Amino acid sequence: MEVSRARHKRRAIGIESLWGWIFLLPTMGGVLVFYIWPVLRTFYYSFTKWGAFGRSVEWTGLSNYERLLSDPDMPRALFNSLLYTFVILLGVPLALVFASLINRPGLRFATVYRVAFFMPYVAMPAAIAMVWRMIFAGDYGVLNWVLGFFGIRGPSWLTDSRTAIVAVGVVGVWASFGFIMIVLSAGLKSIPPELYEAASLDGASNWRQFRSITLPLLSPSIFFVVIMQVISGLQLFDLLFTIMGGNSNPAMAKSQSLVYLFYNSSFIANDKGYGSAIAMAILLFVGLVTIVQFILQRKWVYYD
Amino acid sequence: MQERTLWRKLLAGGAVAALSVITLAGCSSGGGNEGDRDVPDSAESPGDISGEIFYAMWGEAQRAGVEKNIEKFTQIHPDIKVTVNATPFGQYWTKLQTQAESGTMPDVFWMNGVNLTMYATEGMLEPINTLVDSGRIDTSKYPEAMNELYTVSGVQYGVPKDYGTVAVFYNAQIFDDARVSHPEPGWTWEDFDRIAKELGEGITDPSIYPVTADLSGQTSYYNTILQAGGTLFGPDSDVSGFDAPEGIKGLEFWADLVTAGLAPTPSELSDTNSETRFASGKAAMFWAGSHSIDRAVESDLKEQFRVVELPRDKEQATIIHGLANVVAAESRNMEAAQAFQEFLGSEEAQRTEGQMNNVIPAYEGTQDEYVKIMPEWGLQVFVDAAQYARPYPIAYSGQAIDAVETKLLPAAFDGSKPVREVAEELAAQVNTLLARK
Repeated sequence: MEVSRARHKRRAIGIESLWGWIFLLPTMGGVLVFYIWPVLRTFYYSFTKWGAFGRSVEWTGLSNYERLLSDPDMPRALFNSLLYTFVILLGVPLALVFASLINRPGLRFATVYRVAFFMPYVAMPAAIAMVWRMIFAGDYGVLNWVLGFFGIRGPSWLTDSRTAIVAVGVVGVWASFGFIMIVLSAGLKSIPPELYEAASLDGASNWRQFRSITLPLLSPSIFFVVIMQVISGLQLFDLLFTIMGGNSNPAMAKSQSLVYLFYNSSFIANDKGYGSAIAMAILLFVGLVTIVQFILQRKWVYYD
Repeated sequence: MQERTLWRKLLAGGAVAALSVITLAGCSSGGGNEGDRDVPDSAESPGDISGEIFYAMWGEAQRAGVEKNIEKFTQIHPDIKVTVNATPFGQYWTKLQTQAESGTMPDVFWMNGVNLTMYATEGMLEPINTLVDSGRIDTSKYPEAMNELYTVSGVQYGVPKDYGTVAVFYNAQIFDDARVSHPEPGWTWEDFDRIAKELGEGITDPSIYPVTADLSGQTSYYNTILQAGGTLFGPDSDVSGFDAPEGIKGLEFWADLVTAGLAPTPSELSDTNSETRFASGKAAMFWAGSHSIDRAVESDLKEQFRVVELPRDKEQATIIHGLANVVAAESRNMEAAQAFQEFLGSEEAQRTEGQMNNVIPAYEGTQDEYVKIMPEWGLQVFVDAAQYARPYPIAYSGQAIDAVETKLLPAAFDGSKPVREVAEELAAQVNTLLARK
């Protein structure tokens, strides 16, 4: 009796899971064809030399990876990507401050502020780029015009390799600010108000409440946005390309990011084998950084 | 938030991480979109050719003229539908390359000298010799240098569309205000230097530069290198002339102007280009290609503009370059594509180009339209320059050479590195690229 029921149950689960797989198929198919397969192909191409128009693909072993390690543009590109990532990470504490302000109970027009801050996140990157180019332009830019009132002659922000990456980073912060803020506000909302009540009854100051209640309970949300910012930072390309305008910009050679290097090798120099190797290296690097962050989070992220 | 939910959310992030990898592999799939274009059975009388063809060009400036020509073409061939694809110049070649790899090239498209050799050598382009042999196209109607530019190993691939030479635009008002005499035909580098310096002293507004030029080969340093008596590179030479004494002299011409504060730095030019500067009265002299006069034509100051030939040094020289219409070798509608190519090369179509676009048409006798754009400017200088012009240098790795120049030369022009040092590095890298094929 007991045995047969168990067997029956097992068969039911088997059929059920079969249906599960069938329903998964459309999505799985998409992931396999559009994500997994291209990654595997790129992995393969990273060991080849790509002839003109992809007509001759010739196996060259590890030579692309050897070239990668000795590429004089590589250290600079790595530095630029890390610098940009650092700049956009500064947006996280800033967004935390603004999220806390907007979340204060009884604040009027809170929704208006929320929409205003979120707007850049849904705006078209190309349009954003056009506007920021006008702001950062050297001779006739808005920023330098404003600085002019204080007697400061600003540089050509986007065409000077010393300032370009930081300038693009500022736009990166501005563009991702709304997203970070929304995630953090959601996190703030899920903290039970009783905790603050109890703390104030015990005489805890606002700062103390922020440190001992807000920060620990918000740490999973903070961790999430940090991970997302780091990944998007290391993948810097579209913003850089549209704002700086590509290779005609004289500062571009010294302002390449990792992904820009990949673009240049694959689509301008048309060296797609080498480009594949760069793409694989980026994937590996982003993966490693993310794993390290997951190991470190055990020390500071608080799960209840 | 639980750690596990976090992982799940991050999966989305991981997918984003794979994106750069995917963009690349996406263009590796071979084949093409078969079956969506009509293929005529055989060549019949012109009116019987039918189907749809795609025509690719860059920029929007010449769109109107192209549309007008398509309208006229459709009157002759009512069954052929021509669809235009216009892409910004910066992305045009990236796109075309990817289309070539995946077998989805447009049927007819614009070609330039930089890219011709590679596309022709790799068999991507249909030669025009059948059209020439059957008398449908008469190449003697186009400038000889243009036919040469589009010939690789004795086979011509493009029907010249327009040509461009270089001359100096100047703003007579700025000259007069600064009390500097206007440049005269036959002037030399010494005259040019003297005038630039006089302008530098005479112009009171610090935002106006005496000279401006986009620091590209075609409009600036290729010309000065040739004028100094130097050489560039070519499909048959594997050594470039950038590091020869004449080459260095030609590059120093520009570096000296910039470091003396008489011309904008590459970085300033990137923010606001020469065409815009000149058209808005922020430059007294402008080394311009005949094809980049749109802004000047629309300028409120256009009454003040004049054109004079390039100054000469050891030699009188200007670069000539122009575009051509080419047909993809893989076109699935060859009849229609070649009919369109033929039409675009005809006197009628090129006259339309001259009337509607600010370019010099290639067909003999149609250049008047260009000169008439602004009769008082003296645009005839550009047309006459074709007589002493030298073809734009071409090579198999043309695009890669172009990229190396844009990468290295700004350091020489803004004075951050000695010209000689940059020229030597440039020559070394270009020579490596020339040796590739």
